[in-house]
Amino acid sequence: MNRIIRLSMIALLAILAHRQAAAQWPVDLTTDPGLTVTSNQAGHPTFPLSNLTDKGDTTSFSSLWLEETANGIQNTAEIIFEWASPVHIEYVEVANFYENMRSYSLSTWDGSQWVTNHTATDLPNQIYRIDAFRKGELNGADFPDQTTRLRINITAVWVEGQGARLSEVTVLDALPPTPDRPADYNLAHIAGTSTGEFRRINQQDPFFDVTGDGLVDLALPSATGSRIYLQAPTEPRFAADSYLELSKDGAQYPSAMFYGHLNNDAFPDVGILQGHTTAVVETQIFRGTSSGVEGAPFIKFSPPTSRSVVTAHYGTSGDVNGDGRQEER
Amino acid sequence: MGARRSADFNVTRTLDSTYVVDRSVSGPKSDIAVGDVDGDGGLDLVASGGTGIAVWTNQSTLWATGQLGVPPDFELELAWNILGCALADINSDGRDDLVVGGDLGYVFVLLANASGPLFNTGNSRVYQVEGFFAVGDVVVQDLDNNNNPDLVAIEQTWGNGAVVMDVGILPNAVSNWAIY
Repeated sequence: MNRIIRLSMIALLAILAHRQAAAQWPVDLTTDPGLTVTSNQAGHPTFPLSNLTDKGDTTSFSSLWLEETANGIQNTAEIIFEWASPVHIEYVEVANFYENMRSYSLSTWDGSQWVTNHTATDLPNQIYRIDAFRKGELNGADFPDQTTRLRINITAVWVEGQGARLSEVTVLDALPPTPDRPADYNLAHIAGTSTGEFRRINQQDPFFDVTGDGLVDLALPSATGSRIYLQAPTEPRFAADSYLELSKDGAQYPSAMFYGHLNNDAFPDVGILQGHTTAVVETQIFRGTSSGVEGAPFIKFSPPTSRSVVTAHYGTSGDVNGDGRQEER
Repeated sequence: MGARRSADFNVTRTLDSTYVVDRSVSGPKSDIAVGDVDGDGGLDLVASGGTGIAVWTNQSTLWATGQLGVPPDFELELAWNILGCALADINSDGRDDLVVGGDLGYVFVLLANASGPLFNTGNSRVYQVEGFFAVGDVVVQDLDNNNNPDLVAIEQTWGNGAVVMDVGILPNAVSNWAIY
């Protein structure tokens, strides 16, 4: 009986703790209508300052802020966020773009002067890096209880000549929720083999059993084509070094993948789309066999040349004409 | 997108997607999913992106031809930059739940409510993939044939993958029970 009571209390405490955390869900202060954002680098006409808080995809040029380049490229900038009424800051997130900011500082206004909260120097040069700064973990003065201004002062960039640039800034009045659980299997590819172009899988239940053992395997994109991570019947189900390698032809990185019975031979096939703004789009299909998916493409094709230079990030498959074979879309 | 119950539909015919998406209070949207979030048997539409989600549940206007600029019936601000989404009935209550991925490897599982707001942050679970700068897409699929949906999170642009098995099981309670 004691064990049952203890279990019930633990479950209740877990629920209460979860609800308590949920009650503290943060508010994004950059959506405050009383916020104004200014800079000594007003912004490139195509990449204005307003893009810093537009909540767009941080990997997209459409959400990029770039320093004003009419006065030459400075590679430095001071950006000030000012609220009409005092705000409480617990968390600041700075999303970089393809070219990273190398060193910058965060400061808040104490009513009469700027107080430096954190100085970040020689941050890692990782494409699309996102930097998070939490109250209580800063190397300067902690964020004050109330302030009306936050300043980001960019002092160095990794790629000089590309200018000071950022994708997005998020300012929260509470810390982000603590994750309930980490991932069981992190299959991050070996550094340098990721695509840099991939966006999204557009299929329902896309993954399938490629080896015929009754277990679903994971076909994910890589810079050189695809890796099919093979599921094991017991733990660990997936391992970063247990995969089939599909090697594409061509220099472009995979931008989309699709999965299915493309030739209706009972063995599932894998398709890769290579799409880029400056290159010909090409689809390559890897044929499924009784022993898995072949490592080299079975079919390659491109659309007509006049339509072949596009950015293609999405692909899927389905039986369009009802002949039992799925077409790539 | 990884809707478990999907239907063919023509976005350009039934929705002026640019207008509908851009009027969302939580910013531009980058992914959609189709499923039954309110358990009424009809197919609803969810769009994720910016810092929140928008949901269309009124099938009479959502799927009717010639309808443009249909406003969402429900929106939720998450205060977090999010990208891809998927719908799946994770807790087997007859309503599809929403899974969204976002910055710093975060994945939010928003359980559909039987009453009150369709989704709220108080009825959610949070997962994180260490090392991912952002989760660009999420897929919910039963990978190990145990009838419990599993989650595959895919890193934006890079294509790296991570798996959360049996995403419907609340982990804290399970681990505590195992100790006792």
